Amino acid sequence: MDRSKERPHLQELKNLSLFRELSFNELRVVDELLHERVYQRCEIVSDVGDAGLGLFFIVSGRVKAVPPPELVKATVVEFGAGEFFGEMALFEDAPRMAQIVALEETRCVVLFRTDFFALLQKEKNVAVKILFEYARTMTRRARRILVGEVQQPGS
Amino acid sequence: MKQFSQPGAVTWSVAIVVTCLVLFVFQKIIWLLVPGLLALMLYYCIRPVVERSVRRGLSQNAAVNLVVGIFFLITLVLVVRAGLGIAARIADWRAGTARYVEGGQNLMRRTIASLEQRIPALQQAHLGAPFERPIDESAGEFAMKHLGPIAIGILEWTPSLLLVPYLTYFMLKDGNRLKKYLVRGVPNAFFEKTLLLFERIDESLQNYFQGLLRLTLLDTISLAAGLWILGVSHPLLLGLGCAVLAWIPYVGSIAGCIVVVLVAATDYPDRMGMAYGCLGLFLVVRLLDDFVYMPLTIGRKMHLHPVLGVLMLFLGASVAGATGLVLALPVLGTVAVVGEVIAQIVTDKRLRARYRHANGLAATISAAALRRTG
Repeated sequence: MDRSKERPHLQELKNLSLFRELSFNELRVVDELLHERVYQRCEIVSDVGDAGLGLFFIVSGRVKAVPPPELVKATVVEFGAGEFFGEMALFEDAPRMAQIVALEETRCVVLFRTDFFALLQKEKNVAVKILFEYARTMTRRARRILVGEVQQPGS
Repeated sequence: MKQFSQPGAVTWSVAIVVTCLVLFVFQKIIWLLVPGLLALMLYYCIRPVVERSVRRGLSQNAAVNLVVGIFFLITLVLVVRAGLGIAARIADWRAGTARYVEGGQNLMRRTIASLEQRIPALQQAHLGAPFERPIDESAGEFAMKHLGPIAIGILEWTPSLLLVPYLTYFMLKDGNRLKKYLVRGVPNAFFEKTLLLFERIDESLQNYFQGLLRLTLLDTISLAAGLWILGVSHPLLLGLGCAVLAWIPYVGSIAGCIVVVLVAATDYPDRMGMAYGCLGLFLVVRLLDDFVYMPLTIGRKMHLHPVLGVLMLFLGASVAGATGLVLALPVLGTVAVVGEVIAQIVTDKRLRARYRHANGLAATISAAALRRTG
């Protein structure tokens, strides 16, 4: 990639929550593995029951996760720029639990399962930073769910 | 997770037909195929070393430059040394060929004489007649007839083989970028499946080539140890040569066996038992190869039924000769993987509906944009 174009591109990656702590050199390594995709509004990004093969990072736009109707307690969740999704199927080697639909034109970068785990194994520094951010995001999401559940009965 | 069945009869039939077509095309571009395959083999062997270097702190480009540089420097030194050695001894080749052909003829004469003694009926068949020609005549004829074309063949292949380091270097350096470039053109609906396909092709080829090299190493060690115990000269060189020849299924093994028996018959002209010992060793190593080494190296990962494998070898040989024989199994393995993933896509109605839905959305957006500008 042209050097003049590279910096803004890497800055875009740095804005993604999971890559926030990575240096530009480390981002260059990660960038080699990322695949860019653009989804139209209402386009299905991934479907219920699909094998979880990729971890999706939203560079711009918004998506919603629509759980299948049989999961009556589940709610529709939205993800915006900087956030990621698809990690549950990836880590559990399980089928996708929700359908992801683009709410507007959405640009994503995708890290394929094999590349993601190879990256964690090969680049220890990168792995620590990514997993730390991952744990932080999961904690935040868990807190949001707990607070939501506590607030719901009274509301 | 959606569980997909193993490739069915239809998928396998299509895979076999496609494999035959691919082998036919490969035969026509053999000058590009051979360096390509050697480069691929080197790529899968060198890649782990490059990855280890990257883990130790080198950038991808620096690691590729360093590892490939060292590897090809060593290869260059070895090739130059071997070339000088061959040039120095080329005058002895004719004499050497004559000696080994004589050894072979001697073995055949004595074997036939021994058989005729035990089974008198064979005496009338005059089986030994073809081996009664003067040795200088037949060996000289052999050397004149074949050594020249072999030398010209080596010269003809040199430019093509020079592509090997070039291709290996760029596979290591830009392989990932090429994959990204190819994936970019795939519609969103099939994107994840395409990545899976690439992963599986990569895995299948890596397993085959790494398995083949491990198999060659095991064959070399077994043959060299056996020949060394028997007392045959140059056991390591012969073992390695035979193991490499065995890359060509059946035909290569027989050729290797003939070479070893000729060497043993020449080294020990008065001890026929030595040549038979070598033959026995070859059979033992062949059995080890088929039932122990092969399942441990290539077979374990290729997931091919033995009957299908043998059938494919015969088909490959009839469609593309020696090229078909060598490449039938790896090509079938790769085509089967591609066929399996395509079958998954074709039979997944939901996935195809997603593709049509995305196309419809794109058409609507384009139409709306046209209306706005119109």
